[in-house]
Amino acid sequence: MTRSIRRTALAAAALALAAQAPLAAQTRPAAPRGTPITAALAAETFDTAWASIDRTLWDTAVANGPWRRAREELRPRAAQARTVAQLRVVIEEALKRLPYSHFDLIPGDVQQDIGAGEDRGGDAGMEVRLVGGRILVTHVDSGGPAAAAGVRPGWTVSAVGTRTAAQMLAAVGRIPGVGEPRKRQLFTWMAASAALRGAPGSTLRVRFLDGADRPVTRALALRAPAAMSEKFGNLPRLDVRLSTRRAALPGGGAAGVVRFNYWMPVVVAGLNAAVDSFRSLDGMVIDLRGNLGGAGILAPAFAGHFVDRADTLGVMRMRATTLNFVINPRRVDTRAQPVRPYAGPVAVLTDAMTASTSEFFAGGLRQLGRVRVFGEPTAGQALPAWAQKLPNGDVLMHAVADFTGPRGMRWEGEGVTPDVAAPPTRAALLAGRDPAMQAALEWIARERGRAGAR
Amino acid sequence: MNRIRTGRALALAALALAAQAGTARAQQLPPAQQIVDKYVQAIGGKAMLGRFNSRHTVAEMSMPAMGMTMTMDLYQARPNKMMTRMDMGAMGTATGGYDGTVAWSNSSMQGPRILTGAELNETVTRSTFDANLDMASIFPTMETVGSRTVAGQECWDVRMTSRNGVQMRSCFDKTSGLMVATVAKQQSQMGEMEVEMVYSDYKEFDGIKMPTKTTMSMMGQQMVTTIKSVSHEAIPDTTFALPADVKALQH
Repeated sequence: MTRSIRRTALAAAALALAAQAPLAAQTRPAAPRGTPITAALAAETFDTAWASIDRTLWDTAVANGPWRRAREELRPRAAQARTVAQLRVVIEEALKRLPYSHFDLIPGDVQQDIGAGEDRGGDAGMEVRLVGGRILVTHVDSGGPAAAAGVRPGWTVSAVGTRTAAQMLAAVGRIPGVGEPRKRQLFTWMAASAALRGAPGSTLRVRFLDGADRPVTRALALRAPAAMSEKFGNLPRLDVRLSTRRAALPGGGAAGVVRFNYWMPVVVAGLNAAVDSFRSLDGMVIDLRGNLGGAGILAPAFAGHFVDRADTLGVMRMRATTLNFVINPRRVDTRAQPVRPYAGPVAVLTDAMTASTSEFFAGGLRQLGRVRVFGEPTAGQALPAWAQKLPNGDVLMHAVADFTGPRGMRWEGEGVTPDVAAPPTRAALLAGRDPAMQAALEWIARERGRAGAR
Repeated sequence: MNRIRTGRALALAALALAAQAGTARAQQLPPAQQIVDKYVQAIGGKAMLGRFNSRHTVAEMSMPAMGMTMTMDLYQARPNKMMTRMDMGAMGTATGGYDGTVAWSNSSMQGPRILTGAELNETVTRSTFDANLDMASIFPTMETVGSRTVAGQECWDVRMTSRNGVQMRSCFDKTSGLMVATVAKQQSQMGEMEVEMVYSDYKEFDGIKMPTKTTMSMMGQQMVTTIKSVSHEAIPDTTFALPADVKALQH
């Protein structure tokens, strides 16, 4: 019996470990300053964070070099910290010594605030991106607060409350390394998205420039978090959104469109149902723009709907273990009926906020020749990471493995470059067009034509 | 020449001494079968273990550092049927089993799968109801390889190899005879993982001693499994039947 329990526990643990969420950096409010901490707790917290990374860092050259030196230099400073804020500065300085993404300290009070949904759970029902130096509205949820207030894609955000877009952009400009365009986009999005959130039911005054560059002000009544809001392990509660629709193809026919913002278990049933309902259509579009990642194991699981032979989406190399992200072809539908994986054309849409698990999915399936990628280059933050609670209540996000695609390609730093570059433009957005979606649907229509000719 | 001879003689003497020391160590190690027999006695004895035909174990699993907890139901029946159901909270549910012919797994995240190869071998091995009663038949090769200390307990280390190649090293308390730890390389579809389990808090359930706490270390993380209850009531055969979506895979 001991052996059976062990094997079952192992299966659960493996699933949990592989599922642990590689997420790109999360928006976070400033932590309260001045909270006192004892020298012992400060030292213990630093030691735990340092040891967790030392135990799991796959790159032994970095572990034995910069990471050892970080401990020697910074541990005395950590032990002298008298406030939580001082300690966080020291730990964050240590994390900066590591040349990889996914090493981040999430303050415990932020966890609690977000988890309770007390002050930041409401959103305005619209998405923004940095386009041509402006913070543009790129998507408005039908039926959401922004749509109700008449906000249109292509409008420019000029201020949220008392904070102007210029102030946000200036603040982003002061972040080290933000000269890299994708980082600039990511941090701008983080700053603007954080500003556009607040308590559900509260009203946010947002100033825009409309399509004719006329100033307009709209009062947006922030809506409550989505029903799929999910708490996953030590990660903050996430507002998970999934939408599906049918899109008409130029020249006839239709494609199924699936859009979601996190790879979390709560979306799985919806994704499976979407594939079932779109199985007879001419193509599928998986819109991963703004999808920051999530549970890594879900990427090969979802990929199984589109691949007809067992393969691997990539390889996760840890200090002493190598795990394959195996794709199992899905041969049973949601009604327990035998099916073949979907064989039609599949387009994946990406942008600079497509990160982590989304990069595994888009990059891996593209390397396997199964999808075509449209849009903008992805974030290049593609490492599996764990979220671990520290003795002082903060949470340490730390990458635990390198990740390479099925043909050995890495996306960390580089990101996935789309097959078809189709960035949003203000003119297109104002005209009600979505260049990446349009390019994807046109490609599916051409593939449909080719299939018909055959 | 003399010097060479002296050197050779010294080397031979050193080899001989080393060989003797090795023999002496081997002589001090009890035979694996004796250790395993003592273990069977320690957990209740053959007669007690042979009394039951089925078992239902309820356990809780937690990964404290990651803030995750799960519950597990394990159903077993003689001779080799097994079914597990895990409720993994935000990760959904995961089931798996062996009906004596087909080994399978199914999770809300990954979908249904029929197991083959190394995974099938492991599932067959772990599904044997009398695994503890008749270890020698499951692991024809067993060898005592040394002794060590686990959680303050001196134990004999026994290397075991099953008929289908599954390998592990289990350590048995020198005094009580109870199994206190296992190190194994586990096969899964994702790859091979080295796992160490430390067993503790043995308690009796219907006359059989079981470790109610298992601390498992893998990939730098720990998982603690705590047994909540054990029942030996009869389990309906339908419990072990293949679920509909697994059956559909056979078409």
